[in-house]
Amino acid sequence: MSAMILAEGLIPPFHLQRFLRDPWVNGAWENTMWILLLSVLIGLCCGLVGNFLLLRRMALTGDAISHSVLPGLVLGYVIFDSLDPWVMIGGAAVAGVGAVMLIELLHQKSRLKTDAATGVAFTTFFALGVLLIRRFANQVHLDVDCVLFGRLEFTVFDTMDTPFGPMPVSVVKLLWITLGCLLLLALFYKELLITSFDAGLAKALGLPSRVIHLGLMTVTSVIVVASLESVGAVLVVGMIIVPPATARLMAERLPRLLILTAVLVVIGSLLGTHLATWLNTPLAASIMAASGAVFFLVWMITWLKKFR
Amino acid sequence: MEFLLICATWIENAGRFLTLEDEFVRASVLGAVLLGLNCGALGSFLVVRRMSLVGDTLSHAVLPGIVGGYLWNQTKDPVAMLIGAIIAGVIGTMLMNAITSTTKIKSDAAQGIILTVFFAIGVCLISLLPPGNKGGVDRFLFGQLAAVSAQDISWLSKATAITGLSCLLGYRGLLVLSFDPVFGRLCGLPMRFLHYGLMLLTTLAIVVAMESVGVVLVSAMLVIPASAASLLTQRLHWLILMAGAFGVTAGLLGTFLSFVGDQPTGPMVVIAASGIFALAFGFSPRTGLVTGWWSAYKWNRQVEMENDLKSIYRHWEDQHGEESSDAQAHAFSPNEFVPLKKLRSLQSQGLVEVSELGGDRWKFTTRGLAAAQRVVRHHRLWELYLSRRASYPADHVHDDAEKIEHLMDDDQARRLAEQLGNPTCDPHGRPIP
Repeated sequence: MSAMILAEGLIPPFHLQRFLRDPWVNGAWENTMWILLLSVLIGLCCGLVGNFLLLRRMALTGDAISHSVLPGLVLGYVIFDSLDPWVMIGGAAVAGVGAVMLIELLHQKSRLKTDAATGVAFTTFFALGVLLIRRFANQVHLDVDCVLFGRLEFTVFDTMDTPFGPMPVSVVKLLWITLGCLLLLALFYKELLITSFDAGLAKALGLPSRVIHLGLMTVTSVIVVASLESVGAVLVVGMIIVPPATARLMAERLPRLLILTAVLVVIGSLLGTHLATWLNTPLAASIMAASGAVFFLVWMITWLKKFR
Repeated sequence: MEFLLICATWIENAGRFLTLEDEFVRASVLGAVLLGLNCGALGSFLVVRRMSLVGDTLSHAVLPGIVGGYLWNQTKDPVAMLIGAIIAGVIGTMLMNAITSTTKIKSDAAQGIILTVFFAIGVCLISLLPPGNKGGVDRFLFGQLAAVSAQDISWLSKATAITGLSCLLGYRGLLVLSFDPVFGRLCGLPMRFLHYGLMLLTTLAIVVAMESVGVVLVSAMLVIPASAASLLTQRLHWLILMAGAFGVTAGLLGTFLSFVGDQPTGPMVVIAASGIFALAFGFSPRTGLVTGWWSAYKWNRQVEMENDLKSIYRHWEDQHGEESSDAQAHAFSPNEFVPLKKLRSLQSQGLVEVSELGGDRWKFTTRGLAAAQRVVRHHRLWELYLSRRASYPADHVHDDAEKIEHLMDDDQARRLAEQLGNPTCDPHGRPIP
């Protein structure tokens, strides 16, 4: 099949020098730099919470949150009549945490298992969101396409003035959120570590597991929303799951997991950006596909190592 | 005025829908019914096997296959797209199994990886299509139940028939697979084959449904009706039938609402399914939230009533002692234990009535006296049992008896009395009625 695609001229022939050089020559390099910075920031935030979600076996809660924030986004717009990103983030965080609490309610008050409860809650929220978008379509400048796939390549054009010269709005936003996440991580490292690895010990030590859990969910919602316009609802889940899962193949201890995740994020973003320039494919999807390829490579290497 | 106009449109639309006069209404209703039946029935296996989110994973993972099928000969050939989707679905399922079995990554994370990476590859492939050719693929993502074609209907009905047939033929194997796959393997049943068969059926259901409701909403149709049914029954065959029925109902209701209110159909079908789920969650006889509140309320009322009767009886007993053989003749007044309000509520239940002596005097009805004596009898029998058989000190037995008196039934009380030798007095020396 790939031969046919090649023959049709859909895939440009591979040219190593062009593949490596194109994103960085002439006028492209500044743009590439911002895109790379943005995707690395998104990857760092997502990978950070993703490590904890993975340890808690809540990987698909990330998926649920990323779909559930949709009605919150629209209602935030409609109620506050504002395009301010912080309003969006607030509305979405409320919706995300609401969905998580609904999942827990469904799970606790009936004999429904967590996976079914998750499926019921997030699809309902998403359907509500789509209906709300259609209902307020003339007021809300939310593009369903953008929410699903993201537009990493366009978000960097929307710049604002900062003390360091003009910077893309989304980069500034993500910088603040990354700083916030790192601060929270530094402050609550011990609590997060213990509640994630050993819920029983956390209880015995009297740690407020419930508060930490809801806090983690809130932070996840905030990160998901902040990344949504850039990478879309589906690929943000990949950002949350894939790099931490790749790191899990190589390490056991949390500090090493976190560092490896960061390295993997940088590698995935770099590879993805080059892939996108070569094939002219959407950036976010290319970065995700590249991260998937890295996962596959690491998986194969660890697997082959077993036979040695 | 404007509201009236809207109402008039709604009613007109409802009329048009119910008479099924429009061709596309018939098609979309048929499509929704088939879709609900197929997804609902298959979803029950996923929900029972705690794999509810596999539907979500597969519905995203088939995207590269669909686009690949499209790229195969650059036309929207449904057979090529279907084959591509099934290949992608099978590869996704196998990779998921391989990841969980060869690494320490858990199944939820493996699902997440397959979902997102396959979806990303699919999105990249879409962008490789020549411009102008993307419409057919876009529809797979959002769905248009209102624009279901005769061909879609035929695909949907074929898929539903295949699902129904496989469920019938392989019911025993699927039953074992759902509840105890290890036992199945020991029996020599082809568990692996059944698992992949089920995944194949799910992929097929997803692909043919995607045209109608879109990627995200098809996973809703797999999970929600089956979850609702799982709240109502624990037997697999009932679960499948009920999930199918709920799916059909959701499909009908959703298309109706969307047609009447001029809303997108896919989300409306999901909302209808969620409504059914909410009803099941609230009113399921065994586990429902509202049912639970209601039975707790009724129980509290019952306990309160019995306690009131008991305190009236004991008060009355204190006043009259043993000399009263005809209890009914003796009247009592409202007091601080049983105020007038409670007497009125007991009166409305036919347990007490105003005495003919007049002057704010009340008496038991026959039924009321029997009920009061029954509670007091249970209380005192239990006190006696605790002090005689369980060697409780006599001053410790009351609180326990306060609780058990409401739970004991007549048969238990009779057996208890027999065991204790049909006593006449409780440990405190009060008579057992």
